[in-house]
Amino acid sequence: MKAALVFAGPTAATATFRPYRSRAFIGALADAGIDVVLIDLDLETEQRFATVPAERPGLVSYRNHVDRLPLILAQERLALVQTFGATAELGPVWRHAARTRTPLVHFVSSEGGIVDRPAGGARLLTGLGRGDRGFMQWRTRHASRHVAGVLGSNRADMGRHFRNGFFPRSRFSIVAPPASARPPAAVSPAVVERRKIPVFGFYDPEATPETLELLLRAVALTGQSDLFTLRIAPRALAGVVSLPSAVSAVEAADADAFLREVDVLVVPRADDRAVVPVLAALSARKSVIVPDTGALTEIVDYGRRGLLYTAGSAYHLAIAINVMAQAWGNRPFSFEGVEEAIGRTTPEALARVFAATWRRLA
Amino acid sequence: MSQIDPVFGLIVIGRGDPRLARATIAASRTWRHPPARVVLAVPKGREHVFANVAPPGQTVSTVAAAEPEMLAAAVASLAGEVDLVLATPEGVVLDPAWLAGLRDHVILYEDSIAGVDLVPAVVKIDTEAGGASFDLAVADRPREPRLLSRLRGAIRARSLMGAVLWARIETLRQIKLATTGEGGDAVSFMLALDQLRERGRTTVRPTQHGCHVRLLPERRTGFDAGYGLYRRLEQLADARRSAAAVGGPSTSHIDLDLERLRLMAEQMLRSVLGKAGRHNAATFLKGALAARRDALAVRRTVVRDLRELR
Repeated sequence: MKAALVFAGPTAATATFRPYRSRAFIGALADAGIDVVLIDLDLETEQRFATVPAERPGLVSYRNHVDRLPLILAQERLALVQTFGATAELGPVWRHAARTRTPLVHFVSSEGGIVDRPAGGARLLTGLGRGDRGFMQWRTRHASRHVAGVLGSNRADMGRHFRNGFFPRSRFSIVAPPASARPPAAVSPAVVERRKIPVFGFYDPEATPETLELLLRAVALTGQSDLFTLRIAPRALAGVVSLPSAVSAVEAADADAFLREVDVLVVPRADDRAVVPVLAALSARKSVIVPDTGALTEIVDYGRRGLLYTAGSAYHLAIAINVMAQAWGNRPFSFEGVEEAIGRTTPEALARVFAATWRRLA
Repeated sequence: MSQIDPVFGLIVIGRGDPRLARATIAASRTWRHPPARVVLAVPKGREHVFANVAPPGQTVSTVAAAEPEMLAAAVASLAGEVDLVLATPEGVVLDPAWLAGLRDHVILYEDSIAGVDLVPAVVKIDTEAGGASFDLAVADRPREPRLLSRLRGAIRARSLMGAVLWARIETLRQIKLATTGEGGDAVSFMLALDQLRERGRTTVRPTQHGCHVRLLPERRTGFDAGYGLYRRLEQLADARRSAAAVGGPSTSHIDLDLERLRLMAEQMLRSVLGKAGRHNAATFLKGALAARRDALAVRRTVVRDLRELR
């Protein structure tokens, strides 16, 4: 079976989608009997985005404009087209791919996904002027009718798309967890040190000032000074926002090294990129506090392996921190099934899910 | 990956009439894939009323809990045994086609985690005409025209409509499942959906593959029901305003303003144009208006107190 992996638009070049063009993933697909053709489509003709090439011998790859897609698909005689990228940028891709009548599968990720309409916002004609909700979104949604199957890294982002009317003719949807570049180093639970006062940690080299401010606002809202301590890493984050005295910035080479020094990992962001430190924390049997949306919720099994809070709310994050700190001696969480959850994010496991999905269509 | 053959668990929320609960449970026997477990959730202290509710050959386990915790207790009793939980108040009779459609949906769409199916069709059974034995035999009774149920679905308040909540049971962890008194089940279910909305796809839709059984004539005064239901909606609107101030969930499956409007409009029509239920509708309306008056008075008092604090 021959399938095309189409990466379209600047969003598809981000770190979120790199695991799906990695040598391990494409190699695992080949092992599953799939011949892969890699197609990079630059939707912005002026600037070409830089993608990391999958360095696999014998891999056929194209880099072209979107209007050449039908030609490439006809030439390669593909059984299926799998698209990656921001939903808003994929309308032309779906339209052009549909001309060859090749079955289309789209991968929904937290990166470039559709967000829900805020409550009490403008409706009807007044809303048409806005860029994110206007005519372009309507056109993209109309083009999404060509998509015959939907894969996604999590139920929440897929649900947002379906709720907003995308993929009306999709025959099925499959959840494949977000890919982790490499499995986290296993740490024996026996070496986990138990402290009287928990040390909360935050690790995110790509943290934005908004993310940090949400975390610091939540820490301030807890109203506690001696119930826990907070460390953030890497140290460069101290320059992004001014840290209060109770919060210390420490240097850490990677998530595994940082997690040796903390007891609880706090995750203020809900996208797929936060998966790596969360998997590392669960692997090291450290507690986690994660937002109640996206792939993280599924990795902690809807609260069985960690504490959830309403995404984006500093108030609810503060409550979660207080609950975790106060229940420190008797946390009602189980680490059962952690290894299985981690195993589902490996490239081999993902390739199996993708291949099985494609075979349903082709 | 979801299960190829999901295991269902049925929760029937029993409140007052064992005949209605029995009709709901008996309908599940006709399903092509019958539920692995049937749980009857009843208010604590009322177990004796529902003692003989199980149809012959069917096992029903009873869970008795305080009124607001009935659904949560029933779900907890099913955890680990089923994949999909179906919860419905007594009197909602679901056809085999409904379960077949739901089964196909959850197998095909893994992102879909929960939903509320509203049942606008009503089967009215006159208890005075001798047609209401312990076994109501709903399947043998004539159904009303589909156009009439569609019209009712468009205008009727969701609080008074029959409803079914279905959800993948593993997604219900750390979700508050509260039930209220008689009526208001659909609203309670939709509040659960609001919490689940951030976890996956949730849907609210009407279904024609079922009916809501109502026993007539209704001789009770509707004042308490109207007061309780309207007060609950007012409290929810207040809670939503408070949640918005601290960044709570911003969108909802239920529009509380529209719901209150529908509630008042329907009862007004029933009290003017209705036949046997005119007295019930009029007293229901009086109760709702009293609740509205009280809510406004409380709000005025709070505003005045806050102003005096400055």
